[in-house]
Amino acid sequence: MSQFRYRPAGASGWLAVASPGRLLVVQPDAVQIAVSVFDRGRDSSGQGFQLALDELTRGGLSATPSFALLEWLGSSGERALRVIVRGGVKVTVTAAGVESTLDGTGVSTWTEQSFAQVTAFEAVVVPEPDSTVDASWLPIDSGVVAVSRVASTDTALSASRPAPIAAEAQVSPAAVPAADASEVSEVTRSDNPVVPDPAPTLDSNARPTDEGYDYHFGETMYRTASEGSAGEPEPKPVDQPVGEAPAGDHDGMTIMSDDIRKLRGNRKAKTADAAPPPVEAPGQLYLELSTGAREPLTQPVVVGRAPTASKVSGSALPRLVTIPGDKDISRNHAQFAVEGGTVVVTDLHSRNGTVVIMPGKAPQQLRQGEPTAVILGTVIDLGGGVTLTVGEES
Amino acid sequence: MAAAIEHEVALPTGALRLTVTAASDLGLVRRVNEDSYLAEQQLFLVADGMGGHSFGDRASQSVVGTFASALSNGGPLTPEAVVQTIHRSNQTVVAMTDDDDESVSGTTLAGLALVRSEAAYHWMAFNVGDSRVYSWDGRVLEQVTVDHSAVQELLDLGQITAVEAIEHPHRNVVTRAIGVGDVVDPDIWLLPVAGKQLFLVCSDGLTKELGDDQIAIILADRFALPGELTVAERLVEAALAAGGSDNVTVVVVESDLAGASHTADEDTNDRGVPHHLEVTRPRK
Repeated sequence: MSQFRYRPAGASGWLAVASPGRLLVVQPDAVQIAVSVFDRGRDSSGQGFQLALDELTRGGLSATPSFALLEWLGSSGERALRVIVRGGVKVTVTAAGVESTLDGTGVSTWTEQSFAQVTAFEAVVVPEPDSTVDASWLPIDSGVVAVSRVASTDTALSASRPAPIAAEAQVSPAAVPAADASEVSEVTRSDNPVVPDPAPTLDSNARPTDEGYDYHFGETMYRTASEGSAGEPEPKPVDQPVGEAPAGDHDGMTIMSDDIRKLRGNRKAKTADAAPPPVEAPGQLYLELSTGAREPLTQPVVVGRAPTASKVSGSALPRLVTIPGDKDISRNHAQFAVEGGTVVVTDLHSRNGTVVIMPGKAPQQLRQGEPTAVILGTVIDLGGGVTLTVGEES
Repeated sequence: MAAAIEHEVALPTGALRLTVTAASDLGLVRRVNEDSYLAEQQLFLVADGMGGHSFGDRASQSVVGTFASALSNGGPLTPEAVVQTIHRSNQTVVAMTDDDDESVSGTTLAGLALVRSEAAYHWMAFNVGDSRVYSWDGRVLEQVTVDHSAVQELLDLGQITAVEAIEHPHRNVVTRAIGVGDVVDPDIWLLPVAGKQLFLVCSDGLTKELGDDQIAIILADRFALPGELTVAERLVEAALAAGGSDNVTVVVVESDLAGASHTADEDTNDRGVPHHLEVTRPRK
């Protein structure tokens, strides 16, 4: 029997990615993500949730689509469910006879909650595509479909779970880091069926999910001092403010050491893609100034009367070439960089403009702020008799 | 009362007179001052250690130590040398804690350095995390650096307003720090050295207690301070009076370039539009 039932929708429907023990509902234009999550989810064991989150947050927080991600936790008897919601989608969960709704609208990051003793759930796209309200429910076990709603079937969460899910539950302790697995079971066994969650946003969720967050947000977001979660015997930082509950985050602690440690654990993996290899031109490209001086284009070069740099990465430090005295030239007049072996000139909104003269062509004025590729031998005229020539050392 | 440090640097364009004051305080709530600062020669920086029981103070001290030893090698600083030192201090903090996994820590860094690039001198501002560099031109306080914080990301996305950011639950979440990863990516600004300038380097203990306008008023009144108080001490005192919920560290750098007005101060001459080169605008 199938895990889910869904109401089909056309092009305006969201994409539901059903995998054993896991469900992702994502906004319609995130086709790539949906396909990728489905493909990667099939051959993963226990890591599927992290892989899915990884895929969703790949482009950083701003590029993350709206989505709902659901995963069963722990053994089948506990019927525990973890839900993350971001953007225009609502998830209703019936746990221990109580119905709760997680709404992703109006939340800047995302909302997460874990439930125990779950008997049913339903994810609804908000606003629901009109044409689909009357559509009938169809079953799905595994696959990608356009939906307006997805809900659990009796099979999905019952004690007698289908084989794929049971298999995954057995595999997961080996595949997930051991600490993670034990933390998860701590919460799902807590006496309160619903994990209390006064402000269900990024940093206020139960600790067990820290591992998942830090892994995915490693580059972009550290967690704040996490609230002490129920029953977790964690050593308190020595300089916890006097007379203030550990739950408050106004102790000024910017980061929790645990988080640093976890980030460190993932550090090795991140290093590989953190430093893009510098693009090296085959021959050394350079700029020849009207004075005869040569500026190698090994790094971005900003030319101007009093050049400056604003918010550049330490790995792309520009060289500032000062053309003194000539007041026809702006403070920051033009920037030169090598991209993919080609010299790219950008007029930095200079007052008097920049003219490029490519060999054998008429002079052409650069549009302000628009990077323009030029060929070898091109003369760049900044005005006031100041020219630069693009050359290459053989 | 620490007196102001004054010294002169000979630049090609004239003598640059520097007046530097610095102050750091535990605050009223914390038990350990995890902030460290350096105000020597032409390098001014503040590091805000974090990690609570895991010795954030050692992390920030280590960064200051790495920079101090880099300075002692002498010679004018270059932007590349400063970036290298940032990377080296990151490795030092990472290595410091790798041996003993229980004492992990990290630190923010914000700084200002007088650097020589080609023949010209510049003020180089840099940051990792949510410590800041400001500049004050006598009228307007301008934040030079952009925080690496969750709140700044939300601000950039337009999802929260500056007012909401002040009380946002994630206001203490930084997105970059020294000692957390093998690679650290500082942001860099290179600013002209010109005339009279004032820079403020500070930890978030100052900026979370005082608004820009309050800081600006204190800077504007810096010539009429009571008693022996320096402007840095006055800023720290005001942050404590406003709550002092975190360590507060402030370095104030005033510079005065003697001689004629600098070329960066002057406006570019308008040459008039060269009509024969008029550009066709793209159709919308």
